[in-house]
Amino acid sequence: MSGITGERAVSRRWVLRGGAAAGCVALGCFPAEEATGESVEGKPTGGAPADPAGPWAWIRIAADGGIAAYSAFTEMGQGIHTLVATIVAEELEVEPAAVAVLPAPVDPLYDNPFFGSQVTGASTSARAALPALQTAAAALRAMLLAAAAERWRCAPADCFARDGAIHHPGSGMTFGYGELAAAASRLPTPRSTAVKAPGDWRLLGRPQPRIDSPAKIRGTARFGIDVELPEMLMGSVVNAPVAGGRLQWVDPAPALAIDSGVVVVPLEDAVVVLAESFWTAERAIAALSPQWDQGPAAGLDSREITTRLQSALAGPAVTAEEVGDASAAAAQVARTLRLDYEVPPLAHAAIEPPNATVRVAPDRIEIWAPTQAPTAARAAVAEALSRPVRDVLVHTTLAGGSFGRNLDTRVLVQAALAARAAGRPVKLIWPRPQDIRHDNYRPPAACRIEVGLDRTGFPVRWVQRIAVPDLRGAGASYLRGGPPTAGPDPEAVEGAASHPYRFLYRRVDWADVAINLPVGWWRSVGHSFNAWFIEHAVDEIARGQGLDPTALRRRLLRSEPRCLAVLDAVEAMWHAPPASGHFRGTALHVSFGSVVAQSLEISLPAGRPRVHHVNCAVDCGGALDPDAVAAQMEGGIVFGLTAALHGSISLRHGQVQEGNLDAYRLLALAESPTVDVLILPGPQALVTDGHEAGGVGEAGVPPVAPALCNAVLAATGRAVRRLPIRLT
Amino acid sequence: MDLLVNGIRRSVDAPPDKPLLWVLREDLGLTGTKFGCGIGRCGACTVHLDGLAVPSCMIPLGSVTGLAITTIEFVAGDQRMARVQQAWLDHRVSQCGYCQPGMIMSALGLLGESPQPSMEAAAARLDVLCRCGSYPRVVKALRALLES
Repeated sequence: MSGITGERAVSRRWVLRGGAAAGCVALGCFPAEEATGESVEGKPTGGAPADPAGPWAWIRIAADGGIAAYSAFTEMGQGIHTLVATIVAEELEVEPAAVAVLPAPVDPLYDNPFFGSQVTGASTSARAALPALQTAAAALRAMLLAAAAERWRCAPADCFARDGAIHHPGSGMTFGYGELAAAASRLPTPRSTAVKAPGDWRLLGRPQPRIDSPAKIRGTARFGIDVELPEMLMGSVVNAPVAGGRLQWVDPAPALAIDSGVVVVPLEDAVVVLAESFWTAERAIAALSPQWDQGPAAGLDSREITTRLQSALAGPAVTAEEVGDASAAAAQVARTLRLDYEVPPLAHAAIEPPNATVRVAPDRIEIWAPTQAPTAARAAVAEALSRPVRDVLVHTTLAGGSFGRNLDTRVLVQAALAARAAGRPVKLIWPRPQDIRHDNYRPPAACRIEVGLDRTGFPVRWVQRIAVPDLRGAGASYLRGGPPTAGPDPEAVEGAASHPYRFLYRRVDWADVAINLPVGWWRSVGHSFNAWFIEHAVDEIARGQGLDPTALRRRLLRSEPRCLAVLDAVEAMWHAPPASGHFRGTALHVSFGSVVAQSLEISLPAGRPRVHHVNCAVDCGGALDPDAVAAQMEGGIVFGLTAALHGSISLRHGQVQEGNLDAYRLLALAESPTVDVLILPGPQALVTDGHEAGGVGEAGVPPVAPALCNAVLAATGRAVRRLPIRLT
Repeated sequence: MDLLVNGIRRSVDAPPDKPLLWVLREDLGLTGTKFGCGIGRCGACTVHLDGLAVPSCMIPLGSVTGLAITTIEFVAGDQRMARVQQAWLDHRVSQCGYCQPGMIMSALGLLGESPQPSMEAAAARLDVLCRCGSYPRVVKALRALLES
């Protein structure tokens, strides 16, 4: 933006004529259905910009001045649609509410640079959206300025953008963006455009009202499960009870006896039943007695999982990291502690069950789904129906939570196969027990930490072995961001290797464990267990040596100023010592580029931990929306507490025992603590380069389990050896 | 079968044992009421029957004739609903928002009781499950409503 000299004489007649001409050119008028975000087909419609892969691929301006931006990321609660609107509004000098956000179609233009395909995951949405949309919006602003300057025959620097219009202060004249859009779209994209400096931000860095909140509290927000198509059938499913099992045969007669209109669709490893009502489909499917080949996992039970994890701790392993001087450390070791921990598999249990709506036409297949992975979804459906990917259109809907669940493409494939079989559009919903029993689970994991203490009781040698199934076999290659790496699975050891604690010697080993259980990405992935292993161990070590855990943490972090600042900040959030009968625990973890420390207070009424309050300090390198960051920390804390207090998936004869939310318990409001979040101001340099800022969608999860167990240790003098916490 | 939904008489052709949740969603197009678990545990399907908050997935259609059915879509002219929704906006409660219709209908039911429950009693009874972890903000919004 620049000032204006005011000396340029601009022909009033030219301006009028120019304005009138611009008003006749409609560029990018969004069809009504597109503006609702329910149907976006192919590339953005309207007009033919000179540079279709440039900024106009991200942002369109209609002749009436309406602005719409594409989100390459699925809105699943993290607030990315609001951030997309805010970034665009910041550069285009409008209010976020003036920017409609549409889900992007599948196109390499919208690939997540962290993955190389369209994926919402790994806490990257904000970090990836910022540079792409900032650059696009800044280029558009420059093109609108150039288009206006051409009309006024002045220099672009003599004009400025504000409130959806380009202004010429010298004359007081303005053009709305809609009047300029057609001309601007014919201009070449500027080779480089300066984005606003963080110091000039008026929206970013400040809490914004979420643009999706009004519809969400009125019940008018459309999630995947709410999609309606003409002639649509509703579907329910029963999957092979044991993962890897196969359908042998199913007699459809009992389902047809419930309702003669139902369609029974046998699939390789499932039976889908279609009806006019989901309730009818549910009743019909309950009447069936499918015969299954249970497959190779039929013998798996929870005890077997523990046995395999334990033998992996004693068997061969690969070294993921080795730092320091082994012999120097060994020379100082006076005593060695061996600390063992184990965590169970966990389900995602998003409240919106997995669902997909599919219409199969001769020339194309359309999918509506709350998917986190549109590129993988498209490929999976194309492959299942033997069609080229260009025939498959994916409409990404709002997701009712996800946490990694909707990286799974099975429900889309089943819906597509069922829609083809029935010759009608199908909305397939996995009933809750199918969701819980056929998830891609957070893998079970075990850990052994051998800690060498010197004569003063200070840890100098840290040898950690993690036994956990390889996640690289999970899901499609689109979800990995490149070909599988050789050597140790990076996600098995994330949060353990490259840990900020400094020892004279540290080695982190990983032992793969063959367990016939589908595993996948669950909010914070490997960090979800590695933070617990390490941070609970630190308190156990400290208390065993009579050291203050926070003092020990400070010594281990002595060369990590960023971590130290976060640790000091969280401790300073307590203003009084704990009440009698209350105990505190603290933990810190670095994940997804963010440093998070949490300190919480518990009591143990009737021998069960009750979490009263959690303080949370986070350094994410600068917060694009502090309130959204705080919400993610609060949500991460509740998610992590749910796992630590209740979370467990158990198996018997290869079948998951927990079916619904009565058995797979989620933390209830009455069990939920109050939470205070402090966001440390990050260096602005970090936030100007999105790739160096930290993500926040997952970073709030890892520290809370160890903080809780550290409080339990403080209260009882006993460490927790396995989650969920079961005090005896 | 005749129903009174959000103050309007609606005629529905569905079996009497069909759960109210699916009647609302499939027969009446009121998709604001959500399916979560089907066993009345998660509360995403909460609606009001004569002002009482209930999980609609457990209520057969045949049992609701003559009762006033209120869903999240009922906004126009309802002062208390407007206050609750404003409190939800003020405290930026919603994340994914999927459970929030149930959460709001459940909160609305508590606020409609006479006498109003204490904050502690309200928190103990607001048992709609939220996987995003909006609870700390729900509590703030509820406290503001109970205190005003």
